[in-house]
Amino acid sequence: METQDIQKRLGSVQDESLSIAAGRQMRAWHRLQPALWGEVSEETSAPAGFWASRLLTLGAVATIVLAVGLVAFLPLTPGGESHYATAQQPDIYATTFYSSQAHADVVWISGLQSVEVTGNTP
Amino acid sequence: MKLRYLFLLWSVLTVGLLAAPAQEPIWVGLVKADNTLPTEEERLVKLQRRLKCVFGFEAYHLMHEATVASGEKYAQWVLPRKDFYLKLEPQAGSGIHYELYRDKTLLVEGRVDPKPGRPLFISGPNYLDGRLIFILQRVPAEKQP
Repeated sequence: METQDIQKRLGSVQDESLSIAAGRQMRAWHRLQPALWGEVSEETSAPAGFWASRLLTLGAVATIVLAVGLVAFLPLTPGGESHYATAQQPDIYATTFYSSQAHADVVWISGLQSVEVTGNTP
Repeated sequence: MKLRYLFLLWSVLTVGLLAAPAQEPIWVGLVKADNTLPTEEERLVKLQRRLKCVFGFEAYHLMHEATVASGEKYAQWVLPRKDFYLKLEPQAGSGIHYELYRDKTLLVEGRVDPKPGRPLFISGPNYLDGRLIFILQRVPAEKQP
């Protein structure tokens, strides 16, 4: 009798340890999920939601990278300079620079003739 | 879903930050620099030391001033004088395009987007025993220098 009992127990253990039949794996997995994590989240149950969340995350990361790039590199580009000046006459020279002591941008114009005192004094 | 709402909130904040904020007006001043006794010009108190660092004169006298609103679509002729004047043209978004004229001849043109606390000094011609200097500075309307 003992041998038969042992054989039955071994048989039941063997049945439990057998792999799930093909086609029933997903059903078994869905039944197992609530036991493991409670409610099944919408993102994991719906493939569309899953990919949408990934796309949104990717978009957020791309936007952050773009914003950081704009802030970091825009002032270094020629078009992003805070100021520029160009002389429009051959005997006039305009030089732009930043004075760190004065903490100010400067346009230094050379070659200007003096302004004479007239009735239209500034 | 939480991630989606978070992203939407973050997007709104980011767009708000990146979009051109309401720019403060640009204060424009015409200053005569010379080596007379320094004066306590109320509007130039904070700029005197900076001006001296660049131009070296002892005294700076405010001769004319004006305020240009950012975002305006029309040019403004500030500091008019028949033979010497500065034309200011606010740009879309921010910044200002300026042109310096002498006898209706364009001498220098440029563009600047003054940052608060970082003025632009334009060295003008000699005048009497000193020099004329233009100052462009972005300041709150109620806090002109």
